Amino acid sequence: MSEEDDIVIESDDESLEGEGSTAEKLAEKNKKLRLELASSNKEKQEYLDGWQRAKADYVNIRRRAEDERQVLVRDASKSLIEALLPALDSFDQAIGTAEGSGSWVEGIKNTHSQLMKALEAEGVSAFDPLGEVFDPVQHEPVERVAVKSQSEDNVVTKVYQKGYTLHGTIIRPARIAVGHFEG
Amino acid sequence: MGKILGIDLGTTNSAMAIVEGGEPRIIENAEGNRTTPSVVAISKAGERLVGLVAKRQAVTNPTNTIYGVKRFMGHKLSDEAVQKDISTASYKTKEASGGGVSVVLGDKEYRPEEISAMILQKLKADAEAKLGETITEAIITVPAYFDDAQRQATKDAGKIAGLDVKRIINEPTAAALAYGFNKRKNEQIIVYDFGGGTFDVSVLEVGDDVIEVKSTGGDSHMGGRDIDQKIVQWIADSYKKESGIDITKDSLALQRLDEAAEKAKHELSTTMETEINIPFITSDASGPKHLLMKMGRATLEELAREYIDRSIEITKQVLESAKFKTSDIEEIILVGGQTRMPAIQEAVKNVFGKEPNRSINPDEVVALGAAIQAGIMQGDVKDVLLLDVIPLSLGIETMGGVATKLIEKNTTIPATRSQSFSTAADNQTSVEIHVVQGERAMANDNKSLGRFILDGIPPAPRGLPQVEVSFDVDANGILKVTAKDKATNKEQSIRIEARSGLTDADIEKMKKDADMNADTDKKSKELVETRNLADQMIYTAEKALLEHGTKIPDDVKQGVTGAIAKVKEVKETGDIAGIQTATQALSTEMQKIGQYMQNSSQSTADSGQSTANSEQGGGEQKPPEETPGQGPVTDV
Repeated sequence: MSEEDDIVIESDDESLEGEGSTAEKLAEKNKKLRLELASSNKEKQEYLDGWQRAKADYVNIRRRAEDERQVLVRDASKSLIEALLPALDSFDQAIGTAEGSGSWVEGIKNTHSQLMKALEAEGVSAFDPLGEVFDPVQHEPVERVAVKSQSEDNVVTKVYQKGYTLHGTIIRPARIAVGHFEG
Repeated sequence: MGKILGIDLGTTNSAMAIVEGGEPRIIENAEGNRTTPSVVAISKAGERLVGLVAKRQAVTNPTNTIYGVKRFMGHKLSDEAVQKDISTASYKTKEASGGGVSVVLGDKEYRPEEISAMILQKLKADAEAKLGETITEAIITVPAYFDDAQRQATKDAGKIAGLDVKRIINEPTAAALAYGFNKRKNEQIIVYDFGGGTFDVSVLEVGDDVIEVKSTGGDSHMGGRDIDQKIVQWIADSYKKESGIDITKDSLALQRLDEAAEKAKHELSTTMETEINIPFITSDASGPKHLLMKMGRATLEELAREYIDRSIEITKQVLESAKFKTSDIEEIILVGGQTRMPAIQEAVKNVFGKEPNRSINPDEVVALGAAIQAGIMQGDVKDVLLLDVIPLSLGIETMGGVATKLIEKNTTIPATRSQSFSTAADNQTSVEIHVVQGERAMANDNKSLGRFILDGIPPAPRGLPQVEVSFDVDANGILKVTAKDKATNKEQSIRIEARSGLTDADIEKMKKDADMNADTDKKSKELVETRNLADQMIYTAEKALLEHGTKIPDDVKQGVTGAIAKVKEVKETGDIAGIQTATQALSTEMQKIGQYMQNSSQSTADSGQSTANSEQGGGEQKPPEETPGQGPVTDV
């Protein structure tokens, strides 16, 4: 044990001078040292605890960073796909309002199909929920339409814009009109 | 003792954050978004919806979609502000026992605290799912003007949601915490919060670890949404002029307009002009109609002018009531998404004559501040744990005068890094470790921190000895550099105060110098590396000649000798390409030695011709064949 590790009790320690017997003073000194020891132990435990938590935090952050990285890699194309959705909507509109079935209309349909195929290869899927029960997670209602029967209540009566999923997760709900029956 | 969640419970949007590894971090909700709309609804099927899902169906379910409930927290129904809000709300409200407000959702009545609790419940559940641990405690922020009743109501909302609210802190205070301004001494700070639905401005005074709100003001019914509405109206009016059609009557068109308006507003924060393109917006007798128009930043600023001006007016009033002048303000903090607008940043800058702080995401800064408060309470932010970074890279000087970094700048300390180096010349028995600090490529251009010598390295060919150099910086920034010869375990070290004598200004200048000289430094380093490679090639070639000189024909020998001379000649110039060419030529000549040796050993295998083994390379360089255990010369 090097000199640094030794607890030095100075021989000219004042606490051993003055009134009272040496035994009393030693007992006093003993008590003081015990308190210091208890305090040091408490601090030690605090530091150890803090250290362990910091290490645990570090391990958890690493794990979470890896999880997030994998999600990022998988969904890297997400923002590009979201930016393309308005254009896909326009295609649907164009095809929906097309007059006749001439070769030009044919061309537009085929172009749309090309685009969709490329996106499907990336995990994108379109859905058209006409007639389904309204689901606030999948559908965004923009209009409430009065309907004539109970069975049509809370049902999708019109699909304005299709909904899209990426790897099964909804990236854009379908824009619909929902039936409202007042009986 | 779990983590305490920091929550910004906003009127329009909420966000949450937690401290992890000493840093605050926003937690995404279940939908993967960093903010959650403060909206609660009951679907027709009786399902409770919270957040984005609730907001989305608001248009078709107005009576059962509750939004902006923060405006009713801790208020009486009879309050003037409440009466105004009620008149425009799409949902029903009633007077609760005790005079408070209750909202009708489905067939039940709820106090505003209960609605807020539903939002908090979602945040809590989503945080638990993301973190994988239970959350039972939280810090929630409130506007600086909230009175006791309102603060208590917020605490109650937390309790209902299953959260023990450890503290309620003011939103502007949280923003100041996020920027670390709680460390400042006697400074005045303005927090300018322009959000989606409300505008708040506060004057804070910081000192002695205490942040005090000196005055506050705002407009609880002015926000980014108002600007969106103006844009929508402008587009609709422009379109009507052009086509005669009023698209605001069409609910789908209106939604698309709304979306396009917000998008245009965002884009105009970074561009001067944007295009609004909505094909098939509507149709009439002549067929489908399209909307295509341009909007310039100037137009947007005109539309937003009245709101910007009003916000500045309120800011000046708040400053006055705190009895400060604009010159008394040391820092301005921008909060709320709308402050991304250049016109607002300009307006604020013009009032105070200094750049406002906006480096932290204005939508997230309050939640981050709440998390920091949580961290402070949990002792995550103990002073001893406030870790520093070294401002400049530390390294040693290596062959050719290059500065080789061992610890990169901005590394958090304490840190230890080690790397193995070797000797530059044969029989080099000592290495000099020259410690330098800075970003320049050449050691001479950096700051010299100290040098020491490690000797006693057993004589060996260059590149063979392994000297491990370790840099250890402790939490106080004291650097200890140790060099150890792995063969003998002999080591030598030096202790340096890495930061002594350098002011912040000095550090900035050194970094700037490095940036400015980046190109020339790169060339210098490349030249050194090319020369080092050339040296290596010469060394290997001369060694090969020594070993095999007597076995190879004269013409091969002369080819190599000539190439060596050429490299030595070009090496002295600064012609990098020239040196590379000469080095490559030498390499090619050397290969002929190998080829010859191959061919001759095959053809002389049976002739048993003994090569002149007796002629060992005597003189200065003794090949270490006798010494056991030594491997081939390795480049470090």
